[in-house]
Amino acid sequence: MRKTPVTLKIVFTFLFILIIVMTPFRNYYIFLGGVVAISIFFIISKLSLSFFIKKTLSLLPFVVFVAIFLPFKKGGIPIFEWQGIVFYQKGAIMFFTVILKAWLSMWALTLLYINTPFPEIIRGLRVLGVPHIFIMLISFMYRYMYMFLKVAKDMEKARELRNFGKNRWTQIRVYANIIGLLFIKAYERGERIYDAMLLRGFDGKLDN
Amino acid sequence: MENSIIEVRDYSYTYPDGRLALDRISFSVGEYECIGIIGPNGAGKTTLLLSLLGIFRGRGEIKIKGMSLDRKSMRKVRQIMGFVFQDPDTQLFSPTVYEDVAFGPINMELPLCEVKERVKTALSLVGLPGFSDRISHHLSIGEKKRVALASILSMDPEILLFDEPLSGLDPRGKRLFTKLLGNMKKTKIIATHDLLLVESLCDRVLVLKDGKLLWQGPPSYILHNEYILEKYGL
Repeated sequence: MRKTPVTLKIVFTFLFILIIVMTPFRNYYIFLGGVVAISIFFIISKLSLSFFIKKTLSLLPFVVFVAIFLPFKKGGIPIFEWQGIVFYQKGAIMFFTVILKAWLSMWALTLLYINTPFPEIIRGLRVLGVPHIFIMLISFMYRYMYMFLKVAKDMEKARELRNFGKNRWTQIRVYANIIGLLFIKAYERGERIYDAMLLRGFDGKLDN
Repeated sequence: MENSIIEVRDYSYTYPDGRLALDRISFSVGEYECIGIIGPNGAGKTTLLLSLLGIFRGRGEIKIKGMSLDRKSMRKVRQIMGFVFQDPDTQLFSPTVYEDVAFGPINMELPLCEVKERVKTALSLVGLPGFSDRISHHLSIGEKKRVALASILSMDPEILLFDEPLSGLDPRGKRLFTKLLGNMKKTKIIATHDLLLVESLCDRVLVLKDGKLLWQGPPSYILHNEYILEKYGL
């Protein structure tokens, strides 16, 4: 997998995601085909299953949050009713299909990410003619994501060390402060990085 | 001063919140001179460096090689001056070392073969040949500092400015970086708390406190005078 040309891997991943996302929600055989294809690439990649599942599950709560209201959308056969809130079968199927689509897409992206060093992915996107501004944004995100994660973890440690065993739910306000502080730190860091770019002759042109 | 490469006359800078950061600063820097800027925290050392680079614009006059700092001269001035940030993570914003070191030369619109040559030379100068393909955020602090310096050297500036070049380095890293700085035959301005660094490298030292330039002269005079060190908050 690591030796496959990076452009081929990117094109294949995005085609796969496109097919999965565009498939109408009752065409189960296409989803099944997706699962089989992912499984084959997973086996070739020789990855640990638990690591892979953990990686792909991390984004799922966001999808669940977005799709959670689908089963309550009016239409189709009602499954049950409680206090005037109706739960519909069609909506429920749509809910599970959205989750499956998101999860399969995550599988494909995780396989691409694990099997390709990041600078290679960037090079591949460049070869494929992706506009420079997108490539730059992705590069910055990748470069600073880990740093802010570390800052957030350090602040959480500092909070925990002065928490003395209190319930963390009572400290929602502190968490709000930490999130606010992270935002300010990110903003200020962004300003300094822009200065660093200006000082090395950056003039806003991204075509180089 | 004759043959001065930097001239600062009555320069003041006020922060957007109204606080006076630099108060009527005047000094000049000769070619190939090494200047140390020392002073307690919040004295205005970094603000002064960023003002020399045109990032902060205050009142008064700053001339670099006879050019006043304005919109027209900015591009030229920034090719003459290279600034190494205190935190290398600010300076190294690209995924790979090559891209970071090549960023300046590419913006200078040099041909690709020369960009590659400059990256190679700059990395060799800081003792990291073969680091081109390394991922920037996987490097140690010492390596990051050296790559940050390489990202400036690749533009071949005439003046080098450093903000706390030794912060975060272990003793061996400090010795290595001090030696590296000593070997650079360029005009240097170093803002630091490290008095040993100032003593070993600088020809002249400027003492800043509360935004004012209180004293300037040879480092040997001030660094062994405990009364003056205490008086200036050092």
